[in-house]
Amino acid sequence: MERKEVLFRIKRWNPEKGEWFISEFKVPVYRGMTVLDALIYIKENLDPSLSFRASCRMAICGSCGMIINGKPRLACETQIFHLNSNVITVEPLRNYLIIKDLIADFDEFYEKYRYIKPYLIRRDEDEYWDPTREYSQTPEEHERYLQFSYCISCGLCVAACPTSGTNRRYLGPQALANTYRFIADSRDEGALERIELVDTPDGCWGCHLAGSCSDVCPKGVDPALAIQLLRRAIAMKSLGMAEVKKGAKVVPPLQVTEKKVKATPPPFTVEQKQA
Amino acid sequence: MKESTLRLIQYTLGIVITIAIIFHLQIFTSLIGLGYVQGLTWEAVVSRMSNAFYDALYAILLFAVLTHGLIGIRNILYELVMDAFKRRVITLVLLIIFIILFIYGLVPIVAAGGG
Repeated sequence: MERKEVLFRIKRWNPEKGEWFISEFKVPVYRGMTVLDALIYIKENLDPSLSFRASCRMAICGSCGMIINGKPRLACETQIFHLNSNVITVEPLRNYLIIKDLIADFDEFYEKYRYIKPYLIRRDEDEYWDPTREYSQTPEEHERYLQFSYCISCGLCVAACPTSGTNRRYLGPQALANTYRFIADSRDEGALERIELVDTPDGCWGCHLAGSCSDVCPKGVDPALAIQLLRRAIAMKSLGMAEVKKGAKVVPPLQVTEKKVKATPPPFTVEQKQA
Repeated sequence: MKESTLRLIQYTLGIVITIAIIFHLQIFTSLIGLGYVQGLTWEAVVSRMSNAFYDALYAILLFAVLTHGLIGIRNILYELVMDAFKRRVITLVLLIIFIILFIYGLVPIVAAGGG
């Protein structure tokens, strides 16, 4: 197995002294090893005080976002050999307050996410709170928001966004992409409510379309596109040209059929042993 | 006024400015046929400004450029200032600047039109 030694230069925050400092560690790495593996190696073998956040180790939970070699990435899916460098710099996410070392404070991020009401809003409250069946949705209706629903709230887009860096009130690409995700959902009836929330200078109109959010998203979501689609939806509504969306109805009950299906199981591919 | 309404005004005026400026430049080259140098002589300008059509065109251009530009400046300043009260002050100051500059710009148009 291919091995080499890599120098990890980690920018850390000391909350007690209120200052930044750099730690350097030489880590033996092998092909297939990720930056998260290296950080765990450092914590277990070199410096137990190193703090970072991680959980699933497979780019699902979005916990291990950090700046690796100058770009926001998930540490768990960043292969060290793919970086083609013997020196790897690791920094905490930008545009966040830092709690300690590489751990970013996500309070503000989730506050903005909650603000846009990231859940289905329905008028049929009885069905909503005590559902009898699921709401119907065609594959075409599903595809309108599918890519935006892949967001894992890792916050890399906000770390890459220049507007989030200069305007703390800006809602950010994650919250705005999710606003569009729910507005485009055929089951949702809260479009007007959400448009009121984001039709502000610090909402969707604050975006400068730098596109860096879409560039860094580890799940292939395009928040820059979502923000443009959101602007179009708001403009159409302002011009009175928006289509009035009625929330999808619940699917009809299953038809009970009298016809019995006779199915023949496929033959065994392995010889059955006689008892 | 909602942010979306302001943005729609800005986008629309952007289109108006483009059309008006193309028309304004076209006047010199083909419609009048004098060329840039001859089209900018005192007599040519005074003669053009006595025409109600050109007066209207320049008044529209003045309004569109001022509104479009000041909304843009407001957007930039809003990113630098977070406080809601200070933002209202910015809007008010820009509105006053708009009124002053619009009146100031209208003076030669009206004066030449009256002459």
